[in-house]
Amino acid sequence: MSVGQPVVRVEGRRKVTGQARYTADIAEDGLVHAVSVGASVASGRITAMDTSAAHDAGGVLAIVTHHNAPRTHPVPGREVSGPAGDTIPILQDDRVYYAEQPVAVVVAHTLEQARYAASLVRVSYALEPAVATMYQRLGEAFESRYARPVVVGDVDSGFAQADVVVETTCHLQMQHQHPMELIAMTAHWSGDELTVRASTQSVGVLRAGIAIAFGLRPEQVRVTSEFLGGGFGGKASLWWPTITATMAARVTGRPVRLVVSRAQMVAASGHRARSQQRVRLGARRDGRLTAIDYDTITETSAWYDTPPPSITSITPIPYRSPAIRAIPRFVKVNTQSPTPMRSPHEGQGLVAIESAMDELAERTGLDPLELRRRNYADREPWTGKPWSSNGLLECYDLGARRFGWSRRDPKPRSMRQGGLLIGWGMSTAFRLAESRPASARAVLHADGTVLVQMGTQDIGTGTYTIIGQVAADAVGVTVDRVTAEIADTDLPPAPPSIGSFTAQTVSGTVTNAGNALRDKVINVAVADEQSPLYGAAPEQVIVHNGRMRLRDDPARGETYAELLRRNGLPAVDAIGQHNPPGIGEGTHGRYAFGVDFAEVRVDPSLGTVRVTRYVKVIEAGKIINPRTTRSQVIGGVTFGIGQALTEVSEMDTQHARIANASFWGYHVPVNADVPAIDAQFVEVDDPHVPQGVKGLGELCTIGAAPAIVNAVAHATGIRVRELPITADKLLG
Amino acid sequence: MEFHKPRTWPEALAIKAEHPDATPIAGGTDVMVELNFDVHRPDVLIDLTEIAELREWFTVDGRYRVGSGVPYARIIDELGATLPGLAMASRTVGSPQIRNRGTVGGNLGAASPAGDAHPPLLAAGAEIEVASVRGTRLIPADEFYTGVKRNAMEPDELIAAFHISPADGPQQFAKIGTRNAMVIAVCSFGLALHPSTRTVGTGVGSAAPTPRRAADAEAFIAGELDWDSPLPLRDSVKRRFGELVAQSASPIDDVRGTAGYRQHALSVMARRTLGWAWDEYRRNR
Ligand SMILES: Cc1cc2nc3c(=O)[nH]c(=O)nc-3n(C[C@H](O)[C@H](O)[C@H](O)COP(=O)(O)OP(=O)(O)OC[C@H]3O[C@@H](n4cnc5c(N)ncnc54)[C@H](O)[C@@H]3O)c2cc1C
Repeated sequence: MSVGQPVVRVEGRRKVTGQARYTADIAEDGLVHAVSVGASVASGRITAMDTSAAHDAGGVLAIVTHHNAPRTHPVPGREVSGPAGDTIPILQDDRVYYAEQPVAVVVAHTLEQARYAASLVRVSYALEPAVATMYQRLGEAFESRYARPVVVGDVDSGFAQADVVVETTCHLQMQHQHPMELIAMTAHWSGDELTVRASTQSVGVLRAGIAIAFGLRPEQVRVTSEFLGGGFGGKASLWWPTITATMAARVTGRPVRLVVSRAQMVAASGHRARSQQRVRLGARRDGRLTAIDYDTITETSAWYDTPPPSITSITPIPYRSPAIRAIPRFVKVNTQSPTPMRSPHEGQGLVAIESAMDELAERTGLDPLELRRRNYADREPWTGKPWSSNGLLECYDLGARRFGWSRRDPKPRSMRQGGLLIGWGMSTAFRLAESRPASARAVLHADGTVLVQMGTQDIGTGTYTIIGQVAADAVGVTVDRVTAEIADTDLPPAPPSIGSFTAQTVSGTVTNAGNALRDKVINVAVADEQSPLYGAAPEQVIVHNGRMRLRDDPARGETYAELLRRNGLPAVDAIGQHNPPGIGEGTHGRYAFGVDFAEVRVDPSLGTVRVTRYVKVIEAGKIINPRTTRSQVIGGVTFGIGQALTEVSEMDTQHARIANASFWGYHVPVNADVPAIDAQFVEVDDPHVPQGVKGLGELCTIGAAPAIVNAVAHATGIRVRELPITADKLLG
Repeated sequence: MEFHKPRTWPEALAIKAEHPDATPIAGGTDVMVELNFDVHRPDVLIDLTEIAELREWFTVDGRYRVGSGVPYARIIDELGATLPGLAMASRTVGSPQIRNRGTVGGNLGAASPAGDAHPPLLAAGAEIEVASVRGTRLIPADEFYTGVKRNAMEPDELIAAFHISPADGPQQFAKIGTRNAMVIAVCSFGLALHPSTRTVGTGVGSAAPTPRRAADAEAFIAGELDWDSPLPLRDSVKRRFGELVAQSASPIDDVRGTAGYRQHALSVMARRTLGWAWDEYRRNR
């Protein structure tokens, strides 16, 4: 079996030696460069544009503005199935909704020429009042029809039965995905056919979106994306770089590359929206919950009447309670649209829920872990459906043992060493474990090698590698015989790489394709008079290391390669389909689970925090590849450390512009901020999900920020309710 | 844009005299970032990296003369034992790549209030050697910084070196950042004990328009220390020293931290570094 083995990432060597070609590295004959001119105001109308100096600058081929841009059709976010992205028309009228919204695109022979000319474009605006943060308009918070409240039981009577009630309100900041790789697009028209090389989490979403916008049939549009330098939710939608690069290529008749600058990244894709999260928990004296009341106010962009459901609709409540009420509301602000950022709602909501659970532990005198065990939900809390599988309790046990949790002194500020306060905190983690419809093609070549083609993406997680593993087992070859070809709309379609869908989608789809291929070849063999397997019942034939043989008579058989060569078949192929139930549909609640244990050391005089020890245990069904999974845990926890301690996009409230749109001021964690992370897996059999595989990309981040918040509260006695936890917040 | 790459120091000075607006480049770790961000668009660049003498250090009359082009990595490796305060600060600068290229000369040229080399230079009483075709002069560090990113140089001058005495007593440096590495100081503090003159030098970073000494704190602590029969310092003395250091600052609120936090943190860093340095002095006697 290849699945379950720590197979080394197949493209790893190419990436670390610089041979892997990312989108912005790909050269094309006649390539020219586009640079976007961003609005300097966050709300208003363009009253005048002067592009003459830019036109006269050297090398300029075209300047596209709303006056001369190709007309596009509106792209409703919900129709392209990804998170919504830019649903406002780009360069179609004089309206400005957010700072750095493109108002012109300059195309020139070289990047430097385009950049320089872009700096010469002069734009005048009629300013309109901009809403910089939701706190300016909390009174206008509205409910969205796409983010329905969740109501189970009656919370009022739940609170009436409670012996203890805790209430907490957390304020979570705007944060940006800021993947290492900048968003890059290369658009190339030939006649009415368009090819876009994109740094995207979804070639399919881009194709659908471009086709709608430019009035094309989807078959006229090809989108590819060989490697991605991170996405985290920010590259899953149709954003303006795709539209503007396509326009620039249309107008100039040349292949055009557009690479967004780091400063523009805060306006060129999504972000984790600012939100206010209020939680009220009612519980019996023994800690059992009687009511959970949870409401949120989240920012959405100024033109959205329908906030993307993906950032809102999932209830981050992993506990049993007879009464649950969760009401999401929204406020429109002048920013680019928010999107999921390494998990839609749980990653934010659990900060508030798990903070409140810790406060409840203090109030009831229970150990935080024991409190969570007592409230273990044996069914999906808001539907009552049974879980497809749930290894949460085993995660708790294993994590607590490895961390040494039983030695925790419950009293805040009680654990010290060398003048530093030590805090131990934990959090439950959980995340939908779903997949989406997809198909794949598996091809067996006469040399015994296998090619798998599937329009999925590898966003840096290891998709190329696990496709090889899954296909190897299905077809019956070793993993080194398999190559994956992905991220191209010419290949069988697959969903966006979002929502932790990919591993499960790939497992289901590639297994079906591989099985279909194997069966097809076996059928050739048993019908071939010259085959040792001639006349055998196909069910009796098994394949191992590329050799078909009878189950009961290992000597009777031959290799795939022998069969194909003898029959003069250069290749045999088969298609596999995957048709899972819709998200949240079906008889079972499908989730992956985990637990985070964090140790922090806080300097009480300076308020500085270091994460010094970390254990994360995840249960994600069958682990396809422990090596890539471990990488996900390390990366995910690191992401959570940033969420808790360092990352914030500072909004200038006067101008509604982000003041630190660069790595100079937006601080992601560095090596010195991240301790050795003990990544552990609990494997369970889950017959209700494809191949027993649950996704885990987001699960690895969910839980990290709340565990750190709780550890800091344990260390200091100060419960920080406004992330990130900067030093000044810990000086009591 | 004109680009000059002089091979000798006189040549460099001649170019600077001819183009007083020219931007010199040492390691480029500030200059290139500013060009990239379009903060500056200089007409003339002078690349100083070919001038060998800027990358040398030697002693003159017991003092060290360190060329302005010596990168942090070499200060740490080659001068760590003699200039411990500056070496400590150098270790906190950026990342290995930045420490390989970035120089103290460049830090002085940029004269950012947050530059990490400044507090130890102030605490050690260093002097900056600047030169032009008109001649050479030494500027004491505490007269060098004149405003936010401004220094006391004339337009035709270049930084040749800094002069600094080897440590005659324990030295310390402390820095707070918003993360644990690769970070600009929220605030920083350098301290040097000078048993030979029975004085204490200080340098406050990132908490005023310029790096500066905490003169009142220096005067106070000089009166408190008994250098001949050193006893452990009383908490009240350390605390008072910290307060005076904090008072010497005039910080602002910005994205890295609030003024209140900076003042508080300075007092903590000052009393801690004083305690560490004094304990080391007592141990080594
Ligand atoms: C990622 C990164 C991290 C950083 N981290 C830190 C940090 O932690 N702490 C810190 O203090 N700084 C930091 N910096 C800033 C920078 O590295 C330092 O200021 C460094 O000391 C600059 O030295 P340099 O040789 O690269 O200077 P350059 O960039 O070459 O020059 C800096 C300035 O000095 C002028 N100059 C250079 N040489 C001379 C000369 N001989 N005479 C007159 N003027 C001259 C230049 O014209 C320019 O104005 C960081 C920079 C980066 C990019």
